[in-house]
Amino acid sequence: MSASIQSSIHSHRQPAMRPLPVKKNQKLAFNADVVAIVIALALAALIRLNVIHHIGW
Amino acid sequence: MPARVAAQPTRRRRLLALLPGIALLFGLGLAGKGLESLGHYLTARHIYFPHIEYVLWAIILGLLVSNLFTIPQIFRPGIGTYELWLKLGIVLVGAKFLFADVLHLGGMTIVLVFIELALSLTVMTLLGKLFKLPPKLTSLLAIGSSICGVTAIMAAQGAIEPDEEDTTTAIAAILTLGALALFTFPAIGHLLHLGQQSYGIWTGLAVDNTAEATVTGALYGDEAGRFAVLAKTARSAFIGFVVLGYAIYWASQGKAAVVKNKPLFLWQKFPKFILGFVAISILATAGFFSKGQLASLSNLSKWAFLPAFAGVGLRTQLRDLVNQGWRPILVGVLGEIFIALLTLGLVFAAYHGGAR
Repeated sequence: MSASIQSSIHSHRQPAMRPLPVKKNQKLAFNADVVAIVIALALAALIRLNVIHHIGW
Repeated sequence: MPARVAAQPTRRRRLLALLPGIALLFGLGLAGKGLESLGHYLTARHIYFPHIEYVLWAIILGLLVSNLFTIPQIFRPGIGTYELWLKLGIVLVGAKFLFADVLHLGGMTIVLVFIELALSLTVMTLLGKLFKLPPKLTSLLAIGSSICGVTAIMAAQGAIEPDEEDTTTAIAAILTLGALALFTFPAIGHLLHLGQQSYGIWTGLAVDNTAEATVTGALYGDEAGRFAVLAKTARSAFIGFVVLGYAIYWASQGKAAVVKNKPLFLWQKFPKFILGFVAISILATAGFFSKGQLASLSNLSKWAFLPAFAGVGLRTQLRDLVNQGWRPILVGVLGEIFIALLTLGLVFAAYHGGAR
């Protein structure tokens, strides 16, 4: 990958930057922070109450 | 009331639209884990198979899918949830840290973060001036590389009002550098015989995006992954302060809106998932969970990271990474090399030569 970036550096001599085709992050329809905390606490409660006995890996 | 009734199916439809992409994330993650197990099975029977960890398999599979095929639109909304799984994994990792450790390691890390922030912001600004980048693009690159990558850039976008093109360029540069870190950091770590803790803290301090920092840490080992999360979390906590500083600067130049309510601004920019990480850590420290339950929570965090790792691969378009103007990338690369060396030196100084 670094080789291709090197070749890109050499091949792009124009000083002006051009718009990039990189896609922005897909905007979620919910607050990921809040949902992550709620799911984590809910799962922790289920594990604490032994509703979920064991999670392996 | 009728409007509310009409909104319900829309919300349900939006949630249902997430399912194909979520299935793809978990499918690729599970396939990565399956390939690792297959490797163990075949190696035990003296049949050659690449010895690659599930983390890297998940990323490779994601990269292959997104770069060899056009991902159908039906999968795209769900792929965006990789951010949720990443944050869920980070919150659950809190169970592996006693709160005293969080305070101790977090406190030590915060000192390192202060030094890293001050020097990296200065160097990135100087490099931006040297290579004559647009000033706001320089600000975005400095914020992105010193704090937490794309999240910080998006947070700064509303505050310093850059051109759309500057934002896109900065995000592309940061994603390129994150992708490079995935392959270079573990190799350097092995070369220098860094311990799990030292390596994890180093990646948490040096790699920009939370996702890439977590993956780069996990590629070195589970323990390194957890320390990378801890250091990255401490670093992310400063996002509001740095963005506020830049917002005040650009407002003083008459090129951005004035921030009226600074405490509210700081709260809005603060990454809230850190509070969940701290809450789980406090519960674990208070003896709320048995040893077996803590192990389950730790395993749960690995399951949550699995789709996030696949998501990192899926969102990386190698074609896009090399199609950029050379100056932002060069500034980014030079700045990141400086930050990597600086943070490596800090870790060596703080953690007994990096052996721990």
